[in-house]
Amino acid sequence: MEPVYDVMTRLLTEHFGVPEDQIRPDATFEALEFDSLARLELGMVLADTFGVSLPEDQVDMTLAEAAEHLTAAVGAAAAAESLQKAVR
Amino acid sequence: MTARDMAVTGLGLVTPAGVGVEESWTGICAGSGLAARDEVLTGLPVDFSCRVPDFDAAALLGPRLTWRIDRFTQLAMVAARQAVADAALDPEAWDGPRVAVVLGVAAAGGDTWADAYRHLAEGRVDAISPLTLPRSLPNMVAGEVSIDLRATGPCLTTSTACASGATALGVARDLLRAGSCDIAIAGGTDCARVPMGSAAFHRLGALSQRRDDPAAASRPFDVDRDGFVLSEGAGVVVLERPEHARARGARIRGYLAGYGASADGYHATSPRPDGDGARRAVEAALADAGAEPADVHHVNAHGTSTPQGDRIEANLLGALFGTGTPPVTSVKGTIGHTLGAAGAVEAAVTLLSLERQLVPPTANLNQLDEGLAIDVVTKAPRAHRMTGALSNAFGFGGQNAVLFFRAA
Repeated sequence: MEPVYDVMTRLLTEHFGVPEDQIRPDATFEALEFDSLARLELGMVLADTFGVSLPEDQVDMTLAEAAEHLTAAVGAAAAAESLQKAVR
Repeated sequence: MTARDMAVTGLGLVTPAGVGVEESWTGICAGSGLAARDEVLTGLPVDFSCRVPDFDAAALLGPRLTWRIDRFTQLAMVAARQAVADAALDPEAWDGPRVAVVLGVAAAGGDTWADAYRHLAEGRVDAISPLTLPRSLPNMVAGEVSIDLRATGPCLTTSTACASGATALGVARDLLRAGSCDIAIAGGTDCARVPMGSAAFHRLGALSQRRDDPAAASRPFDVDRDGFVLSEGAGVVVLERPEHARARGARIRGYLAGYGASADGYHATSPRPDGDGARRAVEAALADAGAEPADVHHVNAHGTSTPQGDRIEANLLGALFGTGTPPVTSVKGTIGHTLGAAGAVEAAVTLLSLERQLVPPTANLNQLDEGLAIDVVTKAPRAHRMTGALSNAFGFGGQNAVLFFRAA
């Protein structure tokens, strides 16, 4: 499966038009000029893609931290789902 | 020129004939219908439209802005930037609070709403973009352009259906006359060639059904006209008081000398059969300019290509001018009906006609409806000496806006 970081950065380029040369693991959403509306839209796009999103105070988060958060949240969601299936 | 005339110092056009004033003018003068099959309309009863060719919003506006704004705003923003550049104005340097933005729009963000409704019908509220309202509200076109250009004076959207763009120029002119601003960015925009637009106008019986030959579908004043063709585009002008324009050494491309507005007070979609509302708007524009019918040397007609609308307008012009009507054209044969943009696009084309002493042809007019006693220019542009010209715009709801321009 494609790493979460790669999927996320592709969304930033394709959906939000962030230039590729600005996308680095240590770049924050604030540095990428994500204002409040852009962060709302980002939350929706991530939820649509991964089924989970970022915490609301994501502005200072780096892309590496965001990917780490999403990876953990996706894993947790998948674990919860398989647990549910096992219980059923 | 009179003391009340406003100088037009900049033009911007984004039309199915091209992105840019020269591209649009050249395409319109070529006199061929530009409608074609439109893939987004596949499967609909009317599956053709006029589209702006090669409109790459991300390349023109930058990728970060593009996803935030609906196409009708993208079109207007590109045209507004063109107009400001043409006027040799620098938004970084101007006195923002003295710059007004007045833009007309009729349909606004139909596609954005359609997306949101689709998600709602699927029960996916979380999939509705938070940008739905900023993208689609009609006022956002003027709002986004004011942000883009740092124009912080009066900022308005006019909505008078297919007269919206002409109304915007009239309202902007009034703001200048009242001293509310020194520069006005005025125009119109729309993108109604979307599935909902095509389906809804088809259900009204307003669209041409010529599916086998889209390029020949829009044929204003032709005996076989059967409705209009949906289109998209934007037209923007920069208006200033002449002394303001002269003081900064601006090139004056022409003058907006008169504006007349009226309502038919008659029917939601049909114009008054006797053309009374439209006639009063024309007369008001001439009176406002201190002009007589004899001062009108050319008419850029509303001429949508609907059987009834064209007949009423032609009868009105025949009655106004008697036997010697000035040369008339309708650009809708070439670029279709841009709805909220039409009045502004056609105002810009009228001004170019005056500037170049050339009347563009009406595309697809093979045989003038014999009941229409007007001189419509066909086949090729006609060289013509003229100092004054009318640009007509008539909208649903019986809302009429007419502009009178004088050559520089």
